[in-house]
Amino acid sequence: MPSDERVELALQALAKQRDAFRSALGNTVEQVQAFLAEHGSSENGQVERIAAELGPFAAGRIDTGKLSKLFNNGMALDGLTIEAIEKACNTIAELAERNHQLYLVDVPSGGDLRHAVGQALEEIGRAFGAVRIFELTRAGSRQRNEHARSLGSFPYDRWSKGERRLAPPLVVTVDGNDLRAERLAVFLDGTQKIVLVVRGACTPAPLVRLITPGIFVVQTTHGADLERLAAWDGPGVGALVPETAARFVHDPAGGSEPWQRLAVTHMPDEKTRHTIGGLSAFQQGEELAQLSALARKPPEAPAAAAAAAAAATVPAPPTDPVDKLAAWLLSQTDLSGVE
Amino acid sequence: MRSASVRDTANTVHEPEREREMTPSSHASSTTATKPRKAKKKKAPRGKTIRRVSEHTVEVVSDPGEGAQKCGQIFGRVSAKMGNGVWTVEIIPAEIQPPARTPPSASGNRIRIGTARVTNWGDAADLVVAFNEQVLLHRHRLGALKHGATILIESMWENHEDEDIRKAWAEAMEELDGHDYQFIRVPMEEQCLTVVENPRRGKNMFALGMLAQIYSRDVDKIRELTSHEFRLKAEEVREANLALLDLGYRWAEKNLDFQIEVPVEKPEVPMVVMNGNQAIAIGAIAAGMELCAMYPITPATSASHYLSEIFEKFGGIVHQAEDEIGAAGVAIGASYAGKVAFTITSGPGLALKTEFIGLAVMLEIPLVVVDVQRGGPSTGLPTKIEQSDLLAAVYGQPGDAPKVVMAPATMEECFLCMTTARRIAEAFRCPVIALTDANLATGVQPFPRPEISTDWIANPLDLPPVPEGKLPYDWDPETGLSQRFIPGQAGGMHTATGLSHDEHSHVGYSPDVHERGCNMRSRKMAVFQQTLKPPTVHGDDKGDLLVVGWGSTMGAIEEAVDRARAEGLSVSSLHLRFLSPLEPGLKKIFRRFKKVMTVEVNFSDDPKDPFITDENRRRGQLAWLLRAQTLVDIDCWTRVPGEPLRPGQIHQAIRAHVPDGAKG
Repeated sequence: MPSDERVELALQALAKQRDAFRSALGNTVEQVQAFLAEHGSSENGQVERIAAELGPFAAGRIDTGKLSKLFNNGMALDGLTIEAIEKACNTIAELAERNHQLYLVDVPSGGDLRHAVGQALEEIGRAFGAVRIFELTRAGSRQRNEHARSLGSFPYDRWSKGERRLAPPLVVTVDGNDLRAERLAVFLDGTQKIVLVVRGACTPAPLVRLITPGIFVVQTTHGADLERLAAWDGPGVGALVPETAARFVHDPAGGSEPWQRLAVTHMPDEKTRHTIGGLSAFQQGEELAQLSALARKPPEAPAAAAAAAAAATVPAPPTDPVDKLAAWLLSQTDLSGVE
Repeated sequence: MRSASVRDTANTVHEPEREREMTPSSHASSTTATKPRKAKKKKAPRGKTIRRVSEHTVEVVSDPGEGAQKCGQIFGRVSAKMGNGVWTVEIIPAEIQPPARTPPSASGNRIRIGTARVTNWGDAADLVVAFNEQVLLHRHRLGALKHGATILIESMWENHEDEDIRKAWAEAMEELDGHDYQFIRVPMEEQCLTVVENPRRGKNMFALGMLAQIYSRDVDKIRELTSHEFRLKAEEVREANLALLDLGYRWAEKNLDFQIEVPVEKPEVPMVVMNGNQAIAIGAIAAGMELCAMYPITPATSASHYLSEIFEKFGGIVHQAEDEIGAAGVAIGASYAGKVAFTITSGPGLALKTEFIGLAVMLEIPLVVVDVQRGGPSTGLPTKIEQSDLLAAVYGQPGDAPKVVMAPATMEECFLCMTTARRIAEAFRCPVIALTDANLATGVQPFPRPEISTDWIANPLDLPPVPEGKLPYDWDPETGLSQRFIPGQAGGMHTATGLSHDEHSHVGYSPDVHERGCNMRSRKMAVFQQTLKPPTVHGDDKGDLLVVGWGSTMGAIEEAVDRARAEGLSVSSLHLRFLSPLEPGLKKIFRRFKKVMTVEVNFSDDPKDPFITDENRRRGQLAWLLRAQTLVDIDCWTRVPGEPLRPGQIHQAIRAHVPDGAKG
């Protein structure tokens, strides 16, 4: 599959989360504008705004001047404050209107994957920085230099927990030679998703080093698995790899043990003999060995197996509250005399 | 043919002539900017008389299922689109499927069209298309037909093979005799059979074709609307209906010896045509509403049906709850969570929502409730108009539950009131009940296309962290107003409770806590009342009699007042939009008149009836409110006929109530 098609596939799979982010930006812009309309206008402007909001039915029936006085909270914004809020608003609006390019990262050959992803998130983070400026400015805590910096860039390590949950997914094209996936671990938090579209040959299991209990990790050649990644309500990383690489899905919802979460659907037949991206054949073999080890179900101890067999003959305790109640009622009723 | 007034349409040969009948009775309003269109001299076709009138009232009546309503609706809409003033009223039987060919089965539409703006359904029909004599009889018995009205009646029943039907026809004709009705027998069934096998499903289009020819309606527009009506049907069904339309047109062209011309005044602004329920639905969208929670109930349902077709395109949701109570709960919950929500219902539904509306008052949650009133109590008259929910809306909740109650008077106001209701509800953190009724709900009227503003649409709530020390009911001691907290707003966590509570929203049963809460909720209404402007009087601002109304009766009342004033009577009228709190300055206005009387579509005792005294007389609902608020001895004239009041009836009531010595 050509690279462009795979990028399109990845973008499509992650569209929902990306749209949610853009929609949140749009709503924020409206909210900031509403705040400016409410607090940034003169007394006459306030009256006109209230009259406009009440609509023509109120014309001649409601005294909007009197109404305006009731809801004048006394918060008047000075020119500098308005300017700061407007700049923040413009930043958010500008990011909201950007097309897919904001969420696409192209790592040039020989480039640094971590650096490229970090820069992209820093750019996106400007929106969060702008929102913080808005909140701080209206709260009267204005720090002009600090604000100006935040509008220019807002790195991932400064993002809050809430911001990391709102983070939009990224699609990253990268050469197999430059695929140091383990360096992306620092960005896998909140609900951050990163999909790598790999150009050329890569090591057989480049993502295996990112498998931890709470991270969704998928190495695949098609889009269906990416949709599972998109649906996961947590951090995740995916890679569209060449046919020669291993294919697997690590789904944190699968269970508490690694083998319950990890499903390997393809292992390369031949061991590689070449170095790829500085990783020797041994190091590549270690990737596959780690993948196999994680996916292997541990053998059951004989005693434990017997206990499990015995347990299998006893009906499983009910889990549904209604069933539980029914079971308890039956346990309280002596039905031994009933024929 | 037993009546001399019954004509056989086959023999009409008249020389072309023009009759001018520009009657002054069309109730034109000065509020709509119109420009007289240069009247084109219409050349009468050979053998036709053209009657030129300033207004005309048409009724189309059939058994339910025969489509008279659809015929009337399309005729009304096309007339409005052509530039005529229009007001339509649906004639709806109380039963869903009453026995066919019986008087109570009359179903159809009255369409009053005029050169100027039309504000009500008028007094009586000038021309009727009746699909059988029984439904016609029903309208006759209600006094809905003008003396000398032209009646186009289906002829098949006169010589029907069933003797009972022939007998019923003869008896009906005997009853109808003596009113100078001009009968024209129309072989509708026979004609329709040339196109379709079952004329019961198509006679209405034939009737529409006849009306199109009689009133020179724009046939292309009718075809367009008809096609739209049948857009979901099979192509052959659509084609058959269009063929029937053409057939009716050609039949009238060939067989009728008259046409009626109601000149058009081209409006200076673009107009829209819709009924009140559609106006409520579109108004809700324009107002930035996000959720409509409802349970089906006549006559409110069509608003939410219409809304459900389009609401999602604007990001809204129509939620049909499990019952009326659930619908109110969903709307309150959504509003509590920061959404803009409303619920729509009719009288019985309003009763079921009583407790939840009380909760919205207690929690100070913004809520818009639309009550499309019908006849009551209980299930009452599901399809018929009444204005009987006023006191229930104002005082319905046990305990003290102050809220805003408002009433639009026209279809246009149905549209516009939603924006205002929403803003008042949010600003004053209270429920706002908008009272419309079955007359507004189903009637169609053109009005200037609203200039929709983005200012009406929901701004996202501003949710900064709540300042330290700010309380969920931080009542301003003077105004009772407080800031609304939304769940999730940092620092705003509190328990929402319907129990009596203090500023912290802590439950408190002590006298001072309850007293303060009641005081603050009530104070908001006083503050809102202070922002209202005094209403304007229609007519002179002082005189012998002031007629006070509310809701859909405005057009009929003002027309009646104008007739009385034309006779030299010193009468004016006042129409209220805000009923709780009442608009200011009423006592001052009332004092300038010798007598004040409300006109309403709800029940009051007739003072002449047995046992009724001034002390025990139950009065119209607005009269109760006004008497209590102003201490003025206000009289009332109310009726509950299950149909809109007619200006003629009100005119008679005015004549009867003008103080003695003032009648000249």
